Amino acid sequence: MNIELILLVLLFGIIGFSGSYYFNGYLYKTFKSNKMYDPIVSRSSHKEKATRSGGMALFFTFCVCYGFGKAVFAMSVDLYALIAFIFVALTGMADDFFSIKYREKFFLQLFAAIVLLQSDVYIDSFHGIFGIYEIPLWASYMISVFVFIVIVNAFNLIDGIDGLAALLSIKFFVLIAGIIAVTSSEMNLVIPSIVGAITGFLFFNFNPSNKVFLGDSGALLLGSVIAFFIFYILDNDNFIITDTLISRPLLVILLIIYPLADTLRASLIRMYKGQSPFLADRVHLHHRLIDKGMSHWAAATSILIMSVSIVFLGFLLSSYFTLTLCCILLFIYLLILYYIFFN
Amino acid sequence: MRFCLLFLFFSISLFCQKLDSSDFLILEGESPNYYYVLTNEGYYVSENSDSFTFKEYSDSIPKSLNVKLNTLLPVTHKAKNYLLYPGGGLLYLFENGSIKRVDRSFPHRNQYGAYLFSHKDNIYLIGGYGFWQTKSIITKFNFNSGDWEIVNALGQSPDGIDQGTFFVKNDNLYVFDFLTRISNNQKEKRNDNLYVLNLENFVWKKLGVTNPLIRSENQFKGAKRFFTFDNKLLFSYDDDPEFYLADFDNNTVKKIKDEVLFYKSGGPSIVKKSNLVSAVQNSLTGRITIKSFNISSLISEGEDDGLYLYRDTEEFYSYIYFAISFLVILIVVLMAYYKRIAQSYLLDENVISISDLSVEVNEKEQKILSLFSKKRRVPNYEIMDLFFEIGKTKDFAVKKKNKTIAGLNEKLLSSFKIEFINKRKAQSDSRQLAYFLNKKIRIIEDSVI
Repeated sequence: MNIELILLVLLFGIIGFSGSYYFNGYLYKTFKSNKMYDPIVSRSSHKEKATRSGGMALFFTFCVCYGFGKAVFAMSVDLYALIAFIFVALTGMADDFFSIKYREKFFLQLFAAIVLLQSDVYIDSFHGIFGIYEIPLWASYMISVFVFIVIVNAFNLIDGIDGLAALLSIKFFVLIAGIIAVTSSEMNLVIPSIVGAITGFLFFNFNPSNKVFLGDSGALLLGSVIAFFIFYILDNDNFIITDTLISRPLLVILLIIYPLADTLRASLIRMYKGQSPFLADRVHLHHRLIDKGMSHWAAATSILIMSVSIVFLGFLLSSYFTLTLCCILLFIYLLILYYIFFN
Repeated sequence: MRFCLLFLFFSISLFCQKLDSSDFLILEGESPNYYYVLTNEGYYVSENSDSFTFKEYSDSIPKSLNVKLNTLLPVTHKAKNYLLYPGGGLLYLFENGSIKRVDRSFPHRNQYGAYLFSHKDNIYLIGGYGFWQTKSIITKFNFNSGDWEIVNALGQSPDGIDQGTFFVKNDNLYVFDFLTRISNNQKEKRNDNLYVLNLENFVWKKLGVTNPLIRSENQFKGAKRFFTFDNKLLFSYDDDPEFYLADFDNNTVKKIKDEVLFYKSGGPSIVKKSNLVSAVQNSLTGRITIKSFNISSLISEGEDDGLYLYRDTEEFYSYIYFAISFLVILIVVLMAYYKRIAQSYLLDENVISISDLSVEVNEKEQKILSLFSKKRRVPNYEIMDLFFEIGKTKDFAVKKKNKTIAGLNEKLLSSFKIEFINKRKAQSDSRQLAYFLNKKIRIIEDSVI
């Protein structure tokens, strides 16, 4: 590995961590002095006083890291993507402070997705799924917008227990870092900044005395950045190093398997009960682990380890079996995990 | 030593062609001529690799060609030599011993440091620097109108391509090792990625990050040279005695170190057939000599280091190992942190809580717990101070204290399943009593509110 790059990665990781640690502490004190606590309701998994300032701290940390990286090194993310991230983060902040209605939030996310598409990074191919490769531009746009909204909301929905959304985001970014590092030199310092920032946040998220939540701003921001990198992988214009190892759509699904599976399951259960699929309740898989007596830390770590194991199993199976067989085997593995841990 | 130097100088003077001015341009010659060297006075024609014939231009050089010849961008298109004015716009044709202007354009001054190349029926100019910005535009010369037209490109175009390394093969233009400066207040930055432009549909694609071993830190201080040789790209930097041969089909790059060739062949050069034709300045006389070197044997002798050109799989695997290690370390660190804070109880507004469990405490109990939030060992007299009441006996206070602590311990044990406070006698003096907080527990008092 390139020593210079390793040092830069470490530098940006440390800047991200320190910035996030500082901003989280500072914002916690500010929120606390203004008594801006997350309300404790019947669905809440916590009884401590906690602020929803984590997303704001992450946002400020990203801004500092990006500014430094852009000014000193060749760090660069497409301007439209940045605008979309900022827009999503601001939507989340507004939701944290004033509780935006779901329909309004949906339209704001739709707008952010359309802005993100201007970056010329979108899903323009099915990469052989159902025998389909290149898709028309209008279909690309529609599918990309749909995927963006699903991913952003999926990460928002799994933010129900301490550390889960943050740890799964770290997993996504850490695993994708290798792909980005050999594909695009402009973005390879973005990921250590994000991972450092989320790690700094985790020390507050698990702390009972200074508890900080991601809030909608954090969950939506992380979801939108993840959606951008997923578009990056699925964009046919990009050469992805894992193409010889695993199918791109399968890789993407495995990277965000827990948010996708949990959101899909929760929506199906609600619809089966005749409720709105967007209803907030406690039917999520992570709530099951908590109800079984696991601590938040244990539940979040267990889900993290399970989802990492699925990614590596996917890589392993892809090198021996066809895509269809690989999907079947992975589905069986998911069912086994479900019956062992969640049933 | 002096004799050797004189002999060397004499030999060079005898066997090489000499040019008095440093303002010259080497061009590929059409068959049967080997190559041309244009100067302001006339031009040299070589009919074999080492001898020149000087000829005067049949017409005078156009007045619009008011720049040094070595700043012109040459390109061979359909066996004719075209010369482009620096920055783009004016195009000249060197034909039948004269330089003629063939465009109806103007000096664009928009694409300095661009790359001029010929593909099929067209001449293209790509990238460059102008008006304080690096450009990634592609312009095409229209032979009918005599003007340049912008070619629209799609896909992942780089933000700007200044002083890049280019290679055309099979309808693809590969670009790497270039500088980018987007806005006015930014310093130019090196782009490490390899891009490819499909010359049929003009769609850009990013192929990946180039091997960091093929670039040197200070390469932009010196000029670089690149040539097509044997369907591969041969390139070298002025400050590095190594030649690189990049094979884009197999994603490999070969390093060839030849210091003799490097020092002899510095300066403007072209590659034709198997020869590197270069201009070398004599360090003793300052005069410039054109020399030709056969490089086919050098290329075949060069050892294949097995270097990748871009996107190395091995590098990706090492990142994956790094990623796994990072995740493991993160989980271990967070586990240690969580273990430390797992038994941290929060004392706040008559409630002691942890995670989703909370127990209400009265004022006296809160004061006792508050003492334990400050230190783990609390002497008996400090707790006693909380129970002394005017008009009541000490015995009454002792009984009340014992009852309160026992009640508190029982309440917390039943809720949190852990004993909080222990009473012990001091080892030095058995009359001195102290209360200790369980070692596994930490009480944090929310004092701000």
